[in-house]
Amino acid sequence: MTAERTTLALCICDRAVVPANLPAPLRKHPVEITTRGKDAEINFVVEHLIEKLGGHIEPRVLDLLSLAAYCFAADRMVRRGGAVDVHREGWRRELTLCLPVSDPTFWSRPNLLRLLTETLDFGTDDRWSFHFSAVDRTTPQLAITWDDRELLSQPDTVVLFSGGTDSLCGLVEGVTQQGARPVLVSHWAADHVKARQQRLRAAVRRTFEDWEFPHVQVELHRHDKRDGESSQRTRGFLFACLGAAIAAHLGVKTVLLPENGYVSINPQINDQLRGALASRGTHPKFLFLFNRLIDLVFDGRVEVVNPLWNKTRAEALTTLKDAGCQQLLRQTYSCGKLQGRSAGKSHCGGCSQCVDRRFAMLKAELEEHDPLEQYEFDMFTQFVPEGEARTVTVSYVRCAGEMSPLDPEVILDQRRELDLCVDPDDPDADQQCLELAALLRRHSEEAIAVMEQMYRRWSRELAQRLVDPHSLLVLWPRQVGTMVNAVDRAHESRSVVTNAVSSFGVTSTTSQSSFQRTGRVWFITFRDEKGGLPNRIGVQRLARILKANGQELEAFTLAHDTTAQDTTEETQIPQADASLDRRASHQADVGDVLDSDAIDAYRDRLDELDRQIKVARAADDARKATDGEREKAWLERELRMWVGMHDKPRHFPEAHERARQTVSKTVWREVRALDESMPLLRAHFETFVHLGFICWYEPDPPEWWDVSL
Amino acid sequence: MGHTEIARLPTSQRWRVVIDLLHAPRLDAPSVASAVTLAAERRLRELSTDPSVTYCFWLLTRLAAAARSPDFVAEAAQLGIPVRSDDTALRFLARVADHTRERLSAYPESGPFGEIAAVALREALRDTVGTQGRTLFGSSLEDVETAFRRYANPTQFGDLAQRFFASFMSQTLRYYVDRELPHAIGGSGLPHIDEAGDFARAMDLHAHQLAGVVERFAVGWYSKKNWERLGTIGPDDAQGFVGHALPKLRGALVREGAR
Repeated sequence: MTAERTTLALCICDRAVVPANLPAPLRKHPVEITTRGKDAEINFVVEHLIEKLGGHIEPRVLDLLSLAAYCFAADRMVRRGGAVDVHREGWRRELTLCLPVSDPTFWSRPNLLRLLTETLDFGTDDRWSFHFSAVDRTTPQLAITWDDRELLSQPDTVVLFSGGTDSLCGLVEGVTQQGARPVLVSHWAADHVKARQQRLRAAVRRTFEDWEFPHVQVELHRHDKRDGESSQRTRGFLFACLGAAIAAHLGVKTVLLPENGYVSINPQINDQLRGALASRGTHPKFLFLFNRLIDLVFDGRVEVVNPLWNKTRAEALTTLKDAGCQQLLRQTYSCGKLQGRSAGKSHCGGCSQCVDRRFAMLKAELEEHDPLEQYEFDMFTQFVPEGEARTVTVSYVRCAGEMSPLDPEVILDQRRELDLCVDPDDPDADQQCLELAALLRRHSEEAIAVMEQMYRRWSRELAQRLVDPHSLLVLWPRQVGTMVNAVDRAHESRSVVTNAVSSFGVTSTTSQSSFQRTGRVWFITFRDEKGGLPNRIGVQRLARILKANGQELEAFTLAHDTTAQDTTEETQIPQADASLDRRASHQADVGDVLDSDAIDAYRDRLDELDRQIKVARAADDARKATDGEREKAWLERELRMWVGMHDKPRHFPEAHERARQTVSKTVWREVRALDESMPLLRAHFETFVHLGFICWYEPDPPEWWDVSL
Repeated sequence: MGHTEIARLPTSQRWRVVIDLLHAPRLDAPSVASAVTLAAERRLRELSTDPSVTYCFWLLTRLAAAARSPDFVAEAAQLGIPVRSDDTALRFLARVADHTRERLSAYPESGPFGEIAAVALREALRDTVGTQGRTLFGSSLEDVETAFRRYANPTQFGDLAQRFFASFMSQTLRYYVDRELPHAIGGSGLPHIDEAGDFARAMDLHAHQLAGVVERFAVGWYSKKNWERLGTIGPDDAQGFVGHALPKLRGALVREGAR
């Protein structure tokens, strides 16, 4: 696509001044956004806010609200190209807004403008630019329902209240655990959404009678009923701005924007979901950028926080359950589709929100509060409609199946979207990122656990073929009872991956034995066998051992991965000894690794081997002699590790024992997984890979590996 | 929040071929890759001059060179990446991600391929850390430098270029294929969900292997350009490389599918 084909739009908001120096192509097709008069495109009249609050509203608060609403309007009015645009050539737009504010100089500050555009660019995938001019504030604006009396009790928090499960969980957590006295702020664009929010708020009031839960419902939508752009990627920005502006007006510091961590990251479950095609309205990066922006606007008086950033939806629901408020869930609404519902069906059942809600409710054992009747279909047993529903449900389970057996560190290596969740200036960034990877893992485990649970529940119907062939349970490959524990699952997953490489008409072109990582998979070639393993810790350790071909590596080093790049030079036995002694001085001791009886037994065996080797040589039995020498070499190595000076048993620190166990467990697990499609290689590794405090690989005859280290 | 924009493939004649192949009883990754390449031909051809792809590849060459300099932090700063000497590998990658996101926002015409190129760049960086047998967590900037330094000679640079283009192409193929793949599950070619993942990985391997054509070309190119430019490969040079590499790769994808 050439730059000329990019959607350019000049949005002139309420006849704001348009700078003369704007490029001509931009001026060609201006989009007028008017909020006044009978032809207004958007119901953006702030009149009631000013009237009903009675007091003085800071101009900057009004400016922020106006800004958010104009951005929302522009986003709705300029089309992106839609689903027929296979290359998504029209997805990213260049939007230039000319809009009136009370203090154009302030809003035109370069650092503020930079943050404003960066926040919106990230949240929407568009390229935004702004030109501010002075507002004539004689016409009041913004329709808002607000009862002054409700604000008398000095609120201390603003909670952004969409009416979904997460906003309810965040609210209840704040009230029950922090004793918060929140003002609820909602946005609605359709009457039924408004009514649902009000019903839920009323139910919350009945549950927590000590607080009024004042509720600010902001109505904001287009008057024009013609189809606009439906993606609404500015909705997160609008919602956060509403919360921040009202918090600033009320003198409240904390705005809670509760969204479970999984949905906040909104991971790329399907490879067509690039950038903001998976929305980023509560993404950690978006909130980070937004807070920096708001810091400038309100001088640090307001902060938007997601209290559920490290929780899955099921975990958030458990908090709600623990607080005894699960009955409120019946009033919540999560579906991302406002239209096209049958009567009595509040949830489509196939959008990403519906799918995650259903899984979470089942995992948290709250099914009775989330009746199936409110969904258009049951994805587990009924026909999953083609289109979005099929894509989302299948991709959700596929993604969970791929992630659930992975260690968080490996997830961190593989999930590219996690790079975007980190604030590089935060010293705790790595830890936070790991926590998010762990969250993704827990979420995947929950999803798989639900699939297993449903499989068991419907086993009879499945056996009798009474379940629709295009339901999730039939499309899922598991058999009842085979996937109950995580270890089995991990093994199963690995075996399947191993077969993948030789299937589907792709064969490895590498001729020598090779162990090569490409992205998420290690591709392996050994003699006539070809296969693959997912990139996991155990595979990485195995790769290092292979790379060190014939050299010894310390298990502690492999487990903690603290050596420099050339492992073959830095982990020889003498150094290993020195480092062991050094570390032993300040680490917990697990005692003698080998008692004196065992040492004696090893020595006896060495003597016996010496004799056997001599006999074998005398009899010209080279094979037996070689076998004996190999065993002897192994025993000598072990003894060197276990016996110190003056034949005293060496004391090993606990960390080394843990490392030994970890390395052995993770590496052997991977080797065992090779059984199905690479039996020769498995046998080869079992014979020639040695794992203990010292690990090495010494094939006989020598085998040269091309390892991508 | 948490919404997704999901679409399926069009039903035009060329895309119909892709759809039919995905629903075939015996799925063949090279054939599917070839059909996608033909169906998306116009867009893929345009990517040869795409500013986002060029920028990301150019940045990769510059970072490889920077890793050889005595002061990586200063070199990275010159490229607009505010790296700190106490950064971890993860924080460094996050800085690269921020930098490219900001930079590529100037090219909305790249559409999703801007992000795909940025991810290919980060994957090439990640993989270099991975080739040391490390995970990102716990790796330092020095580890990245050490790992990366090896790639600043022509032979190893070929490997790096292959990683970049393999990732770019496999993401591109998946970007299209994943629109239809979920609908092919349940047929005889892909009876279950797991097989869809296997098929995607087979596509990855196919792209990676075909990107070998880029590796061979990259070795000579890097050597020549480095000599001519005294180690400072410019954006125009990178454009020249991308303009040559992507058509080569596209051609290979089409040819392999026809076999």
